[in-house]
Amino acid sequence: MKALIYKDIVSIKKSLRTLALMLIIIGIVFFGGGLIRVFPLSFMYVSIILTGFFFGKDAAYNVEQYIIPAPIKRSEIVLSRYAILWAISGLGTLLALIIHLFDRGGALSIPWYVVLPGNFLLISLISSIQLPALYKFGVEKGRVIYTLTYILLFSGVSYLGKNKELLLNIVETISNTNTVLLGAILALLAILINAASYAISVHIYSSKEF
Amino acid sequence: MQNAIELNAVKKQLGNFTLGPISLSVPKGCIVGYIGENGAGKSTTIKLMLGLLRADEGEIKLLGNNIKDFTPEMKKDIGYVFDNLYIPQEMNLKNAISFHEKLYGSAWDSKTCNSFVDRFNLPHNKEITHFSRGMKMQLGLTFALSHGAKLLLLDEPTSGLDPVIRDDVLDILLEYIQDENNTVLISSHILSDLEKAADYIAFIHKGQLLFMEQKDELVESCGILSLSSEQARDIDPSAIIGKREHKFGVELLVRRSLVPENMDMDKVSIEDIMIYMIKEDRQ
Repeated sequence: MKALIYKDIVSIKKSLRTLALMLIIIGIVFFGGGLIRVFPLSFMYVSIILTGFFFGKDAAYNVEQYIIPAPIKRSEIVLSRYAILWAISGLGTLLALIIHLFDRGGALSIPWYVVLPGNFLLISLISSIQLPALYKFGVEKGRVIYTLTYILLFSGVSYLGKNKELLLNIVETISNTNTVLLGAILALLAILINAASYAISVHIYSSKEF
Repeated sequence: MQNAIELNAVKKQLGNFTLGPISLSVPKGCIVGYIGENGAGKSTTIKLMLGLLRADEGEIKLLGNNIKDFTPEMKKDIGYVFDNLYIPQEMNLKNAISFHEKLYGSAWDSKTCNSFVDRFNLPHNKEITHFSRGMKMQLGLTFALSHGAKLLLLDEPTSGLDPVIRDDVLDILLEYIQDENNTVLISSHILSDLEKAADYIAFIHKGQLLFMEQKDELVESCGILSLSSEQARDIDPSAIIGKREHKFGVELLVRRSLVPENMDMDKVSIEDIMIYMIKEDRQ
């Protein structure tokens, strides 16, 4: 699996710099707009973009034809993609925790045990839907899914940006509920959705022919 | 003796094309040239062996193990080369070697890999996308031979290569086969290459394996007769494998043992056999 993660990273090393620059610009914009606590959710884009890159490269160079006969199980090939998704989600979640610790005076007062699973769930959610779809339909049809998810995300973020009150209301409602239970539910949802997504992808990939 | 490759009644349907049922046994320690026209089923057979496609019926065993039961450890004994090097082309030589080291773990033989890299004089800092077709093939062969594989499956590895590089590739295969535990199955359109290297020729046509015979016996058992149309009528039909008609008469590909010994016959090449058989089938 290490080999496949290495291959994926090496094959997009040039694009990674652009992506890092893009993240910095988004961070500055969010900070300026007083939405720094929402910034870690932009890692959702990172995982969507990287997933698109990885599948695109594999399709362009017919890489799967080379790795399927190699000494690696199909489930591990799928796991390597999820490992990257989970690493990005983990990084975004870690950033959310750091922001949470240093921005205690902010308007959004959500406890850390809600922030962590909430961020992980949101960052990994779209890719959890996207990955099985890409394994099932391939990169060409998968691009349609990619575009749709991108539009959905963009609309969602724009809507939240224009309706800060709504966001604050949601946060207030969360604060008034049993936050420990909420955190537990979010954590459980994050685990279930990601595990189900991985299991579906493995099932699809195991019967695929090349 | 255990066979390196065993296909038992293997069948695969791909759209309108049906491969098989094919049965094929390749003994250890030889080079098999797998020939056939475009779309005959050569690549499909190799893909089935490599697990890229799944057989609808039948059983495939490589090195004594059913491929359905293959573990990653068993896969290390199989080397493969396609008509192109299907790894990300942004990698340079160092990246590509690192990738294979991680992929093959303890089976990876850096010494062998480096010796091939030096032998082929492959550039270290160029991205693979800037490699020539020949260099990519040499690199693919380097990787296939650097993890102690006992069986090499090569799908059109020499297509589009110049004669010098093709000759290098064949020399390497002949060196590889010096170890009697090693086996090679190579599909190719360049039949002169197979004539040089192969011990056996397996001929597939329209998804059916027509024969697998020792190359020397095959070539010696056949001959080409140039006759007038009248003379051709006197030849035992069971001796005729293929026929080519032209305005001066006919050329017959025949089995030497079934025609009178005093008849003058031209030697045949593998290419002759393939062309005559395909054209005979079309007629």
